Amino acid sequence: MSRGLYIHVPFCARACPYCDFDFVVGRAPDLDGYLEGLSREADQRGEEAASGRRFATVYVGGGTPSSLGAAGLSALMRWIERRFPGAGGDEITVEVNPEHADMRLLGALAAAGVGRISMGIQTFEDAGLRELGRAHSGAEAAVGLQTARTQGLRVSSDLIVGWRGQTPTSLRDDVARAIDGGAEHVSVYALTIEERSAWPKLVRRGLRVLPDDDHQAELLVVAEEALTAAGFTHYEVASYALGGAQARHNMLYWTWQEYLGLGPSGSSARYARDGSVRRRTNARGLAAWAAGAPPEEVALGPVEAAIEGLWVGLRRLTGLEVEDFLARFPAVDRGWIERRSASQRARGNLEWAEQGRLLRVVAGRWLWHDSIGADLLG
Amino acid sequence: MSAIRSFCIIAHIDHGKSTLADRLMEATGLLTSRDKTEQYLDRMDIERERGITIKAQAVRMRHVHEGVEYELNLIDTPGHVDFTYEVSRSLAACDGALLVVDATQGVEAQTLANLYLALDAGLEIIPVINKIDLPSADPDRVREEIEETIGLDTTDALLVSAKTGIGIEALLTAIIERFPAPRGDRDAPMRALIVDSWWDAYRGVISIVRVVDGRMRPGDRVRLLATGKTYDVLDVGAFAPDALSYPELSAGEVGYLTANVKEVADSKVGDTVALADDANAVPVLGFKEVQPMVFAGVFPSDSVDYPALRDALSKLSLNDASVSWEPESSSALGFGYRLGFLGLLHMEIIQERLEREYDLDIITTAPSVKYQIYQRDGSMALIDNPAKMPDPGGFDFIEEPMIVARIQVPEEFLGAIIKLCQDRRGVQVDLKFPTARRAHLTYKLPLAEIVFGFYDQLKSISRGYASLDYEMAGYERADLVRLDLLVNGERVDALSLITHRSNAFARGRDLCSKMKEEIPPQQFEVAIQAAIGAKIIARTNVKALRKNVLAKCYGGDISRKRKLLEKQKRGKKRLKAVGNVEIPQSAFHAILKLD
Ligand SMILES: Nc1nc2c(ncn2[C@@H]2O[C@H](COP(=O)(O)OP(=O)(O)OP(=O)(O)O)[C@@H](O)[C@H]2O)c(=O)[nH]1
Ligand code: SF4
Ligand SMILES: [Mg+2]
Repeated sequence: MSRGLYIHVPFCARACPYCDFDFVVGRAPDLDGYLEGLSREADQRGEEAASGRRFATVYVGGGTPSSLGAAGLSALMRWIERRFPGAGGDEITVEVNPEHADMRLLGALAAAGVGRISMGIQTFEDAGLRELGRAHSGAEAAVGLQTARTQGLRVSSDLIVGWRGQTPTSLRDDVARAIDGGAEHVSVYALTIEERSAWPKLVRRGLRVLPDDDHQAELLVVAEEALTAAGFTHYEVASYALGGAQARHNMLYWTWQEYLGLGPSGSSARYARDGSVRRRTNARGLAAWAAGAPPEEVALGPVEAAIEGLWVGLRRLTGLEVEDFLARFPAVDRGWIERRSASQRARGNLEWAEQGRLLRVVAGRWLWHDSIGADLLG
Repeated sequence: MSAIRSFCIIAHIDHGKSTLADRLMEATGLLTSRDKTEQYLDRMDIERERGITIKAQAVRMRHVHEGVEYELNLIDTPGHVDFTYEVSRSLAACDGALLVVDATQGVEAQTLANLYLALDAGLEIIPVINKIDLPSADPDRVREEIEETIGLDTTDALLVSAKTGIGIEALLTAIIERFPAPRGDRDAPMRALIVDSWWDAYRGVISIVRVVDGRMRPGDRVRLLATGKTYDVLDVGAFAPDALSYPELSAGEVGYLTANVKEVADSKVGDTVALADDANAVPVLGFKEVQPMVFAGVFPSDSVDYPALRDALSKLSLNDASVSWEPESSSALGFGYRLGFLGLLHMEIIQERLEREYDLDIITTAPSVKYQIYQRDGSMALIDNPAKMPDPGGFDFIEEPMIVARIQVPEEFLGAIIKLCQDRRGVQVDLKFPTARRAHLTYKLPLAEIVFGFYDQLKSISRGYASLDYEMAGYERADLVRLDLLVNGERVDALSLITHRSNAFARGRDLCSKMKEEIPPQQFEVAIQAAIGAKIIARTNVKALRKNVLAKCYGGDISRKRKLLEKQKRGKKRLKAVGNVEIPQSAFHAILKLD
């Protein structure tokens, strides 16, 4: 079983109006203070954070890791290598914003052993980028992709669908430009407005509208069609990949593997032999985390963990592998899965596949994943 | 016996009965101004909150008049039409009645209804015009109205304010001088009339009785004539205002009785208490079992509360024998009970008590009346649940319960009220103008039409000025059909209703559009249809929601995502499934708002 390491970088150059994730805007990142905090946390996590080599994947996410700049990112990568020697043997991914994706920064990443970047392109259309309040332009994104390729970096591109004015044609164009730019992995998200973000205020002032559900559904389907037509596999609710390019780190989440999350809001999961799981989410906010505010911890017993595992495992649209599931959750058996999934199968949302080797979401029904999840968890 | 006066106060709702009772109790020293609770006799929480009297109460007061000490028994009766039977039994325990009329309102429907009951019971009447302290009081107009409408001489009417106490002394004198003393024979075998009963956690069933003949003492072995059951009298006494034991209650007296009676249902209003060995005892009054008029399904919101609902109902019926209940099951709402009520107010009261006193979360289905379904073979079935009515063609004909409604209304609203009655399939019986500005309208109407929001409409059309009273008037044949609501082709049994064929289309359309507002979009398009038998008469649909997925799962934060889904799920707990369609509980209430 492999394990992943996640590092949260809580800095963004500016706040996107729909986002309420854990970030600090504006001031120049206090890199030293942040690295010190990481060291302190890693020490406190003790045995959990002991050996670097057992972390097969590393994912540096945010916030905006690339706002640390080339030197800052290099320093962070050196810190990781020093603290977790040998970590990331299978994959090291860093999130990069297009406006930062220049030769210097990408070159530094490549030199530090990073093999994969996840680029927050969102759309190539400038009107859309303005609506979303992003700092880059479509041209910058295209150049960023090209630069990554020259540095030998594998690229995943994030696309956001369902902003005002987006049409199926413009979305197909986004998909085509991402693929032409060399992305071998594409994540597609419907624009989601966080309650505590600036967006609701902008709506009140008439500057934005709330996304329309039907519009988003239509575009999610357009994206699926365009990507699968280009040979991508829709392997996870929000993820598409060309053969072999699946995000290994993210895959740990959907296959009930362990991961250690450091930094503010970082999430970790540890399983016991009986399948019970302890989940930990670090305190939100750089200051709180740095001050050692306690994390939120959730412990699920063997059956509860299995219930959650069923939902989480079904994020993989290729199907939940029953044998692996039962190995992870020995407290339940096949009959239990049968019963637990019966109502969703009856609704036509889930199905058995490959003679019962897989339980999976029926084609097209991934649009209902939260309904399925709510029912399975209930 | 010549020093006893037993009387009641009759009035339209809110004309001030209970407040006047407070003043009388104060004037006779039963209440001091320290007992500041208003409407002292309204003891139940619901009575206090709603400011209405539900249970009859009796208090014994003493008053010295011209050197003689009198025993005054005051019986406070409920004023609402749902409780007419109880009122008639209370009246039978009295010799006189104070007819209270609000000086700002005048004669209302219940003033009349209760007056007729009092006259039937042979009571002496003293008209009392109340609330004369109010600036808008118009005693002369009210006097005139009393004379015109009821032909009662008002020369000796008393003018009082139950609020300030004006006129209370004069009222006490009138009670003693104008009401007759009870008749009865103290040496004859004991007989007493049960006026009301309730259940007390400490003392068991307590009954208010009027002793008609003989004497009732603790230790007596007594028999209740309607049920034939025998009991030992444990305690007798009177409320003054709290329970006070006496060695005996003798002919003419009103007081309480406790015996080893287990349930209120065994000590029914109107029954006669006699000595157990008096085989020839004759009932004081013809006893009538009160019949529920209005029926509705009551279901626990959460099926795990079914046993709790059963417990609550069995406790509640210890206390209120007039509510009937039997198990019912619905495909949409699961297991519950079909309850029978005396009327809509009674239904509301029971609903509220279940929710408050027993802390239950319940769904009540639309009220229905009891129909007589005649089969082709001549046999007849009674149906109080619309879902059980056969399809068209499955019976010969149907009869529905009728009422005669008396409506008092200011002349300017008359036209609108007549239209309302006609829309409700009413037939005019009478129209009088006892005074120039007020009309007395009598209509024969199907009870079912009254049950669906009639009273609210009456009040809103007349801006609160119309009043209504009604009595049952037998069964009549009508062209009635069962209207079903279907979601995605499945009948929602709890939403079926019975309606006149001529209204079916309008009701069907209304029902469909109400349901459309209630049912949230779901994964599939939901077809909503109204049908009579196999015939669809109205339809609409709820467009499908196209997705329910928030793709993002930040950095493996599964707990956060899980919480969001659990919140969705909790919202769903309040949904009821019919086939694969989820219907919110509120939808079952929405049908109550149909008009
Ligand atoms: N100003 C004024 N208000 C009064 C008088 N008598 C009663 N009220 C008010 O009228 C309202 C109704 O009085 P109740 O005594 O509850 O009337 P009720 O006839 O017992 O009502 P039900 O039991 O519901 O039939 C209360 O708000 C009283 O305070 C009065 O003489 N003057
Ligand atoms: S969307 Fe990303 S870049 Fe924008 S504010 Fe949120 S974390 Fe920062
Ligand atoms: Mg009262």
